[in-house]
Amino acid sequence: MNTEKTLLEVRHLGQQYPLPKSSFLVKATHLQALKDVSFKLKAGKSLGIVGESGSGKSTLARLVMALEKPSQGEVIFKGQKLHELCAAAMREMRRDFQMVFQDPYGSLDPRQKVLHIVSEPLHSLTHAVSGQTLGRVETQDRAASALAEVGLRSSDLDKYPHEFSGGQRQRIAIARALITRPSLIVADEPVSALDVSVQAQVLNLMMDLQDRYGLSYVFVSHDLAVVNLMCDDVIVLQQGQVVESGSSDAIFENAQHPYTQALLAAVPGQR
Amino acid sequence: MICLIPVCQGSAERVAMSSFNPNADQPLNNTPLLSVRDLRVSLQTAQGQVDALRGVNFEMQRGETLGLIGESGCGKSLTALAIMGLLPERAQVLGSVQLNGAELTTLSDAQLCQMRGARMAMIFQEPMTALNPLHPIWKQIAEPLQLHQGMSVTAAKARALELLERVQLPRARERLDAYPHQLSGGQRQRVMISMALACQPDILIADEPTTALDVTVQKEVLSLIRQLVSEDGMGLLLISHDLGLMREQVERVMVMYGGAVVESANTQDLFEMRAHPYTRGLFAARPRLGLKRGTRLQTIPGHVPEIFNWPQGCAFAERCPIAVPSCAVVLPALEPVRPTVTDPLTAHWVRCPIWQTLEASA
Repeated sequence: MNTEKTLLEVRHLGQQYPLPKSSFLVKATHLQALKDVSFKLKAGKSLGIVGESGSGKSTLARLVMALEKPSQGEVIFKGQKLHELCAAAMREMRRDFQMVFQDPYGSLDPRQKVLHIVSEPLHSLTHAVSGQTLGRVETQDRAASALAEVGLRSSDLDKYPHEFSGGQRQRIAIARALITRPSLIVADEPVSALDVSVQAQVLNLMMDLQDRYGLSYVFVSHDLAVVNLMCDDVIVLQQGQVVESGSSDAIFENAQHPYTQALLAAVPGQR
Repeated sequence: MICLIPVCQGSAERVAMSSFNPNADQPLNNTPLLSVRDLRVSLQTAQGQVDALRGVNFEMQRGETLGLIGESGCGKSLTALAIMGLLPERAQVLGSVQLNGAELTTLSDAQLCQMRGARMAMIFQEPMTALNPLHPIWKQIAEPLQLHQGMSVTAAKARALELLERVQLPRARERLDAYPHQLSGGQRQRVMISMALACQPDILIADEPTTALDVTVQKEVLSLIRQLVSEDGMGLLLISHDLGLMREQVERVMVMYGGAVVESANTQDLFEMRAHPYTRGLFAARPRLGLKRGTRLQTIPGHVPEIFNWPQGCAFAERCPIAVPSCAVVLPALEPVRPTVTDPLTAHWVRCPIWQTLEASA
């Protein structure tokens, strides 16, 4: 176990947001959205982040993706403190961790063709750094192979997002995340907008990709059954704090914290 | 105390109402509370006229709970809207919807307005968009009371408080003057429920009432709906895509696909045996607690067809593991799973002529 490399480590991470002031005379108050969160994620493994709305799940995902600066603590990815990197090094690093969002309708630009959407990370991350530009043929090839990975055809490159169903759009979003060959994908509720039969296809795809490329996932979800299926380890967040963490098996079979027990008991139709 | 016959406000409407009495001398014990017969809806789309509902039949008795499951675009919500008379103007409705024996599809808009809110009510999925952000919640609860029961403002406000207490909104008295944005999602859904129940309707339609809520809140809201429905002896039509939820909430389930009911059964029977290949696929595709990490889920190949691509026959044909060429040509009839049990209200019905081949191979 100890021989596996730690890919991502989060230490005492906290985030607070200023609340609106009632008058400029009063001192600003803050909302502590996340408080003292720590975890480690090994290469090739998946971590589930579970909690209800407002528990800080998405804030944690945004901090791991370095989309915000944390108020406290640090995110260490591949041994480097993410929020201390300079802009150029950050771009270089961003190739290695990508994100898939919840809403497959809102996360794809409706005015761009699939080719542009899928290959954008290549242009903005890879080659902005090295100074090279990627030829059209090579871009097309890389995009086509990314689409093939997720079960779409290369003829789909010339279509627009509206021509696809929800499940297919989520596949496009996964292809966009895969194209830079990342080692970590942060997925924020990737299947909660999909129908049951399509959701199963996308979950299977994500598991296949993990086996094939040794990807790690940080999987944010409110659906405990999905997290149980996808993740090796789980942390349960309540009001920004970790109330329980451990291996997926331990938590789902023998939850200790009353909040985790309440979450599990509320999953409909499992009895 | 509570007037079941809608109160007419204007004399013009009174004339129109004379030929229409929702409580027409029907013996209540024989007539089903809600009877939907061969309900067909066709919609005008950019691709031309399409049949969105292809003959839906069911009956509901007072106090019964009925579930409608299906994926997006299968016609669940359309069924609800057709019953409520809330379809878009250019939609064509054929067939019959009877509430207590009174036909609803032929009513004028004014007559329908008298029924909605008073005799049948609906709870929608997203309580934030269904509530008016500009009015305090008591006004919104009082509105149907003033409209249908002619209550004064003070009486209606007092009744709104009773209703909010009944749906267990914490600190109801202080919250009468609250605006929707000051409430959480679960609290807003409680307000929606109190509005729907204000006039003690005969039937309550809940269209994905908890999809936007967290699981723990979802559980509370559902058990509240169930409790209120059984207290008032209403009929409940619960629409959801969540199979697990149906198991605990309703007595009978109908599974819809492609605008038709493909299987209907008492909940227990359905969970014991799924006959239709679509229902089976849907059950197998669901992630369940206790599955081993990394287990691949069974999937249904392809995706739900667009409405204008539905075949003449069974809409599931192209994704179906046991389909034969004739499936896509003629829409099969519903047949009983157990040939000896053919009571329309309690039998297990399936719309697939060859479902037994799947049973044999399993």
